[in-house]
Amino acid sequence: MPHPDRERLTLVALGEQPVVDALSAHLDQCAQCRSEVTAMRDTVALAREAGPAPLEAPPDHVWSSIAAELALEADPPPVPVRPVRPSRRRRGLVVGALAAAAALVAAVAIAVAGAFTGDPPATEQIASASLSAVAAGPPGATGKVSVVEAGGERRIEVSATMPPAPEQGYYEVWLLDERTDSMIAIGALGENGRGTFTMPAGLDMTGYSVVDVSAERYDGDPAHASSVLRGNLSS
Amino acid sequence: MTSDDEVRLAEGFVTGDEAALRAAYDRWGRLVFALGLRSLPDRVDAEDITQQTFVTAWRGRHTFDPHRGTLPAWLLGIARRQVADRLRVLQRDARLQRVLERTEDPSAPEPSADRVLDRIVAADELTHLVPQQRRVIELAFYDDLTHAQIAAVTGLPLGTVKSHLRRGIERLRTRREVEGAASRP
Repeated sequence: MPHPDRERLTLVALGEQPVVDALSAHLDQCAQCRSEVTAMRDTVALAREAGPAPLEAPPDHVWSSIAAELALEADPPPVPVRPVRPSRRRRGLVVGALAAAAALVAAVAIAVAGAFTGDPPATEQIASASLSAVAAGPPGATGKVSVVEAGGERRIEVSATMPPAPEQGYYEVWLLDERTDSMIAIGALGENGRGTFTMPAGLDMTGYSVVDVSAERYDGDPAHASSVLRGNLSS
Repeated sequence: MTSDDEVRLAEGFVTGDEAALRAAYDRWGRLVFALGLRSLPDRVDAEDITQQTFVTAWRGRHTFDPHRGTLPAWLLGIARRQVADRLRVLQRDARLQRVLERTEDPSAPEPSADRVLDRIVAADELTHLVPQQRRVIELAFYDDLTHAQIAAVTGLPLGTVKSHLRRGIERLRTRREVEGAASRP
């Protein structure tokens, strides 16, 4: 048997038993695949020990002490609103990364042009959308979305005016690619109908031109439930 | 943050840009703080370690060599030395205390410092996965679902689930090699 593909080895490392005898037999014989599985198994064990909780940020006074001890010239506020000093190269990379997102290109070009005409703004809006209620949604519900870049991070800011979420539920924001029908869950809106979400580094937004807000229930099912608001992103 | 952003940030850091120090603190302060929290008995010690790590790093920024490792790996190296120093002081105090009280050390075996660091790096990398991929990984790791069950729960095709699992684990592994305990002597 040739070496099994890495996806199958991953499943073995996760503890799913090889159902094909040939795979077991191969692992018995092949030291290379065995060591691959061992390494992945150790990585999984490590992440399981770490647990799913995100790491806690140090309290604000730690930064104040650092700034004081180093006598920093201008002590930036706790939330990074000042972008890391923009250089031509960095701007170029940002443009390169976003060029693929055809719908967003024009806005970036304008933002970049703006960056050289004076002090760089703290945040640059890349795209925005107006949300309105879908046919089955609550009548009159509206919302606004803007995609901004600040401090090297891309954020999606959402504010919506609509009835509060039902008792056992919440509103979730999604990005939708209509051509492939694929969706990315972005995060849950607060009770005030607002939310700011940092986009994961490396997320390719190409094609994700629709913002969708759905009503979800606390039922443990992470799939998209029923749409409430929708809108198209444009620059 | 992409690796290009990290390189840019490291450049700003080395050249003395205070905004880059703040950005490095925002991005990796929680890694350093977590290392302190999990290695030291007291929260105050963990806060101290975090402060001292960034102060030491900033004062010694000209010694950071991007060709020998990443900025977060370098910061974690400084943090580990801070933690080790602090532990030595605490142990000396504890030994003195024991001599005074004539009691035995009741401490149970704890995970090695390397393991603690690697766990923190893994926890941090998990939060940087794309939401859908993170969801798939969490269902496999913490809810012990099989790939078929994950596909049923998320509505994703089997192939997508398998590919998320493979790539997610590979990312965790790479990050550990770059910034984990084995990345330094």
